[in-house]
Amino acid sequence: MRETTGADPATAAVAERAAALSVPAAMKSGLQRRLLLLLLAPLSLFALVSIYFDYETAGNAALQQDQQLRHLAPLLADSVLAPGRTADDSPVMLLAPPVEEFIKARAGFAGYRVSDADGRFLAGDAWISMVVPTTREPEFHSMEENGVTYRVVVQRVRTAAGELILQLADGSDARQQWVRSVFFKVLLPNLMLVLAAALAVNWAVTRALRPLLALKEAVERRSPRDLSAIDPQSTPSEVRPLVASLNGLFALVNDQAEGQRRFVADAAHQLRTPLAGLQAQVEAWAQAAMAPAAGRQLTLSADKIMALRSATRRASQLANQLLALSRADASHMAGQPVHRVDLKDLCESVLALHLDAAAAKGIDLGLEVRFAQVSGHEWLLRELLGNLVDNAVKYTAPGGTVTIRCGPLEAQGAAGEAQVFLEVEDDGPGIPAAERARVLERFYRVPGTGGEGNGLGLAIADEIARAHRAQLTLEAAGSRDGVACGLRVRLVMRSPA
Amino acid sequence: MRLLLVEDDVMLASGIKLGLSDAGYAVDWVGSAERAEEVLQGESFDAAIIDIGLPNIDGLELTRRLRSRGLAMPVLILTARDALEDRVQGLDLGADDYMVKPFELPELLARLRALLRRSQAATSAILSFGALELDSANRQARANGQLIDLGPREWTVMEYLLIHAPKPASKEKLLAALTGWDKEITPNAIEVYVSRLRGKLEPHGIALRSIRGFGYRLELVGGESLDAPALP
Repeated sequence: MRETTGADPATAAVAERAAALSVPAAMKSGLQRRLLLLLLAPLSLFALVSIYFDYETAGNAALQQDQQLRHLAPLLADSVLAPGRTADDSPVMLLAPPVEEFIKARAGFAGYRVSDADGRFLAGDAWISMVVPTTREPEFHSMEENGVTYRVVVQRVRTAAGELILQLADGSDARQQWVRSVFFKVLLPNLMLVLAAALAVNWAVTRALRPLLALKEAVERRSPRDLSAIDPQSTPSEVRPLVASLNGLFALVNDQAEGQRRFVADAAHQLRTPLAGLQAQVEAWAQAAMAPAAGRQLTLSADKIMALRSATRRASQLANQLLALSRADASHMAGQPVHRVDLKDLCESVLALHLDAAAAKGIDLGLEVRFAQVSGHEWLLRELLGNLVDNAVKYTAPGGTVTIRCGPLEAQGAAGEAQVFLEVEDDGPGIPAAERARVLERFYRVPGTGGEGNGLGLAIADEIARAHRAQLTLEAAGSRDGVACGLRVRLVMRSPA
Repeated sequence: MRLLLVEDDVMLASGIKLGLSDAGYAVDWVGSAERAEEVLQGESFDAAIIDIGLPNIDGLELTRRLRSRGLAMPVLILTARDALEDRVQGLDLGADDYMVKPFELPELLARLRALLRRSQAATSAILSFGALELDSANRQARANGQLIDLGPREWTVMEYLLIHAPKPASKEKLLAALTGWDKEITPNAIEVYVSRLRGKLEPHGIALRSIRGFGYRLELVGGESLDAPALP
């Protein structure tokens, strides 16, 4: 048959969880990266701001330079004392002391030029290129000469030598000097600061995160087979809650894995018994049929065939119930969506399924139902009720009575919510009070019980009840001659609003 | 009644075939969906039993193809999974019923009978249960060739029970079915019709059992040999 499941989903779930546990490995580097980023980004920003302010200061310096040139320009005009002998001769000049000082202070990087009204060179430094100004206001421009950038003021002025164009050039350009010095004075220290800070921060962060790293390694060492708790004392107090939750998860996974292991072992053991019986029967018949005297023929009595049938039915039922049990596992159902389930409909359809079995035993199987709804998993509740009815019919003597009930409850729940109930009552032998807690355990059967049960029906019902955050209660249904008898299994659930 | 069984597991198929043959059905067994389609080209069947887990083309796909070819015969799906989606999908694709493996032969027979009865009711006017036959067109009820005299309300109750057999019919629904006849009908009145029907059916091996708190159900007296309870 092709309808077989692949890998055991439970194993896959454990592996998935184990994979999820290795998350702290990524977390460590992420934390480190984030810390570094958070510390270094503002630091770099500060460096940039500092560079910007330095630049602004340099800009102010340039403005101050223009200002100085503007002040010196009239003094240069005053330095022209008289015109030359001819129009082409340089005029008679005596540099005003501030101008002379200015030029001396910038030896080689400053100069002046005196030109006539048309821009022809008369005196001073001829290398200062001529720009004929159009107005009488001082004008500023930059020029380049021998790789030096000069700031030049040019003004057309009326002097003792008539109308002249005067120029004063300053090569000690603050902006340019700033560009040269900025790398060494501003950028380099800033970069070094950032770099040093990066190293220091990295070192500090790595050191501070070392306990986390150790924790990560401790988690990595764990495997689905070894999920022992991590010692919280060896971890920093900030991550202790994390360690506590990890340990909680480990315990949960351990419990589940242990439960699964026990369940698989139990299931295999339980399946073995009916299968061994079947096999023994069929082996014996095969041997008998193959015996020389038999002539490859074998006649079986109806009794033997019926026994074989009941053994196979038991094996089938066991397989079905094991499957139901593994699916009803409360922890698996936690994330499944719930639906509104009509309990009256459910009771009626389960009743229909068990009428044949009840009729065959002459059992009066009936309903006492009132409208009630719960929110839950319909197929699970059907399985639960089916198991209860199956048990009741199975263990009640021929001619007995089994009743399925549901409806709203008078009493409210602990939180004052409305409640509904679902129950199955029989007038069979009942379960002694001392045994009632144990019958919910898997594979447990009340000593002395005959029939074809496998001890799973009530365990499944209980598991399903727990998946619905409800509990099964077992009690005697009545008493005969002062002795408790019959069984009432009841499930109380909250009614959906 | 001719049935088509599509199942690739030899052991299961031979078991089902034997059981169905003993119950009086003619069974054609094929091991794959492809073979089933070939066979269905030329022959017609009263019902098909199809396993979901077939090689290459699965049973759900086969069912879909049969329906898209306009074949209306009842289809019963066999599945090893009882996951809800599988059931819903199967029924959506046109299957009429499903059974989860492993199952007991009597239950398969009962489901099959119910399916066949329903399809008969849709295609012909005669409903049957055990020895009882109800001819809706002529409003005649017969059992073992004998005509049974039924009053109009008795007829309605009988027909309703027969359509639902072997499932029980609820008293509420019966009341609803009868209101066409009588506005003022009471649950007690139904009991009168039921007890009259009991008297008329019991001689023919058909019991009308009361289901406490629910309604009524038609049963064959003594059941069938295969329905005997399992030995302890």
